[in-house]
Amino acid sequence: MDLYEFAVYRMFAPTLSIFILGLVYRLSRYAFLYRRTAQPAWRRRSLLHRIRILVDAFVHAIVASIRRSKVTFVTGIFLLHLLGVIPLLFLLSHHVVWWSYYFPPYAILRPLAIPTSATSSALTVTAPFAPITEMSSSFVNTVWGPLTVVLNGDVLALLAIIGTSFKLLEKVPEKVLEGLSRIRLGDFAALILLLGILISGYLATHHLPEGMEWYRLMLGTHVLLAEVLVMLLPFTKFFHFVFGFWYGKLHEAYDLWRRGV
Amino acid sequence: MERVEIEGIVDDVLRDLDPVTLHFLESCVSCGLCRPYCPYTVAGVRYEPVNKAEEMRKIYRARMTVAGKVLGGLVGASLPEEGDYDRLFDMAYRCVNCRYCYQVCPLGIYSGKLVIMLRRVLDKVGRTPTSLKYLQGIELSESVLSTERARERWEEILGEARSAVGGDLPLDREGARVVYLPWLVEAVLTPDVIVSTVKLLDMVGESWTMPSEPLGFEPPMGVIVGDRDSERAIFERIDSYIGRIGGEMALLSHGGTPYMEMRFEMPFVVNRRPGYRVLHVVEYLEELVEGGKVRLSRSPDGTVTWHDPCKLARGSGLIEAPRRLIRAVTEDYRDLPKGMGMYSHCCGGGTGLVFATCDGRKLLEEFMGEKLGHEEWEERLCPPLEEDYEKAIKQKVDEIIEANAGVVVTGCPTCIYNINRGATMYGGDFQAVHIIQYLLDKIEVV
Ligand code: SF4
Ligand code: SF4
Repeated sequence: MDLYEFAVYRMFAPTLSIFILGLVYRLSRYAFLYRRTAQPAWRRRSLLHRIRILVDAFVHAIVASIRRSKVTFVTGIFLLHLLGVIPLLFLLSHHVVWWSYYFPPYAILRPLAIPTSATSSALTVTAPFAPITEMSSSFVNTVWGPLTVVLNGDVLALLAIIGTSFKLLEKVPEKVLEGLSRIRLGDFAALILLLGILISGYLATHHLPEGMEWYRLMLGTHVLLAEVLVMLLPFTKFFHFVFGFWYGKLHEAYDLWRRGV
Repeated sequence: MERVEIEGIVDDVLRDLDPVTLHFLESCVSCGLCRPYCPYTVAGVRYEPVNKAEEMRKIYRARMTVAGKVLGGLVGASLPEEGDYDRLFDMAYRCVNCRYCYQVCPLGIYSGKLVIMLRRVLDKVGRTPTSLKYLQGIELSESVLSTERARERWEEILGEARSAVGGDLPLDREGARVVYLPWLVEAVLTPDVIVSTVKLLDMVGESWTMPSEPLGFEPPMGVIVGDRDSERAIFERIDSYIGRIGGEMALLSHGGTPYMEMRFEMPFVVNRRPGYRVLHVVEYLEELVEGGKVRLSRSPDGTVTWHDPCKLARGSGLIEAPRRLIRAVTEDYRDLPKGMGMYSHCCGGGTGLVFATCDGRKLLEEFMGEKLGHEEWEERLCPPLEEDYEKAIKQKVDEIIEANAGVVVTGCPTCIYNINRGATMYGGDFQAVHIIQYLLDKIEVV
């Protein structure tokens, strides 16, 4: 059994189990700490105001970063999250197939799939014959049209690699020169893991280095590292992705509603 | 201190952990976005919100996470030791609980809350500044006017208030609708505000009363020094006073910690919703205007700006009301350039910092007519704190200078003190005044 088979066939169930157990553990800590207490009288505000505050809770960090932390905005928010992780993870055509395999309704997003490279959708125009199956047609004949010049796996992966590398390198002077105790080993480990996933995915997509063994090794590495991330997710800062961000922002909106901010 | 003692202290501090605080402790991704928004980052990047909060996170991880217990320092988990106390003090007292970090954090984390938890740990190992400990003590004692001198000063203020209304004051009068609650800190920093508020209540013919002596210094001092039990005790005392009077409204002229805490935190702490409303004078005035009981007349005062006290704006949602009132009396109003409301920049000296500095301490000693002692570590740590506090208030002064405003209206005595102190130190040609002082002579009773 090679790494590819191990990652795809052996590790899937343990990954999912550890993830679910971890999730239950983390969420139950929140649930056990909950105590009902008296509430202050809420300040009266219109429904429209409340909706604005809810939306604002989700976007004002972006505004704040544009105002005073442009580097964090470009690298951390834009490259890493808005361009890198989110569209790549959920909309890259390979990933759409993968998600749909385990969760068939996900296929509904197929028309939004992002091609691997700038040239893959050009095939619909340049190829001398029509795609044989409906599936290949939907992945090649993308709705993104000319946008695929930038909105494609290659560009997004490169931008995400740049963003992640920057976040990683940025931590060195923060730790060494500024002596910030908040920079921990785990921060480096998390970003190195993310970088490993991005680079192995890129290499696998491009069959680099050439040869079937290499392809299986790269894809196997990509899948295995992604599984490691999923297993670690409930126990590391990656948890913000599935819980911390949503809980934090909803609580903040609720708190601001109460105070009438 | 033995390790087991420290463990007991930490367990005690973490006893009240709730899901929201757990989120604050566990969800930070160390993005650093909160850094440029904290008024104390100017004193050194180590004072960015997340790095200060990290000190509490280390303690939390050491006691409450499996990884922290097994891997310790490798995962950033450690319990404080004697040698750490100086650093922890520096971290805990470079925060004014202004909530700006909370407002800009992509995960909705309020680092200031963790800093206050750190103050709780420090309080239990004897690292609260003597002045703040003293204030907490008098707040919990029988009478906050614990010295002859303080009693005289308070009587002087009451005397001025009597002259302002031309008669006696309805002190401790049961059955009054409005219970005005001036605090001793206002008597120290802005005594005129007490007199002006009394005058307003009298002018509009309100059914009102006030305690014959302040019910607290700047309650709850327990929040400021990090002592949950004293916080509860003082809230209970205030609540029972208002209950005894039977008032419908608690009215505050202090728009800092006391207002926000009474309005939004007290119900959690005493676990019941008060049967009366808690209002800042801004809200009270606006109700009077809206109810047609008073009219505001215009008068030219040069350029006027409003400084949002953090706890009144970000903490309590009073952002537009003061602006509406000021705009009603002046044509030359302008907002401060760095940001307003949710994004306003803090004055740099709330949550007890004023009285932890040498000048604030002197002011207090003078008011109370009593010398406060010093711990040896305070001699070492308070001068740098003073320097950093001055750097923090300078940012506010620079912002006001940029706005070119001659009058800075605000609603909190600490902000007034800090801004005026900053103006004197850094040559600002402006004066900070309380909104009630600014508006009083522009109010016509209908
Ligand atoms: S902005 Fe929030 S998540 Fe980012 S470092 Fe500060 S506290 Fe942590
Ligand atoms: S509450 Fe204000 S002073 Fe305290 S850490 Fe946050 S931004 Fe800084």
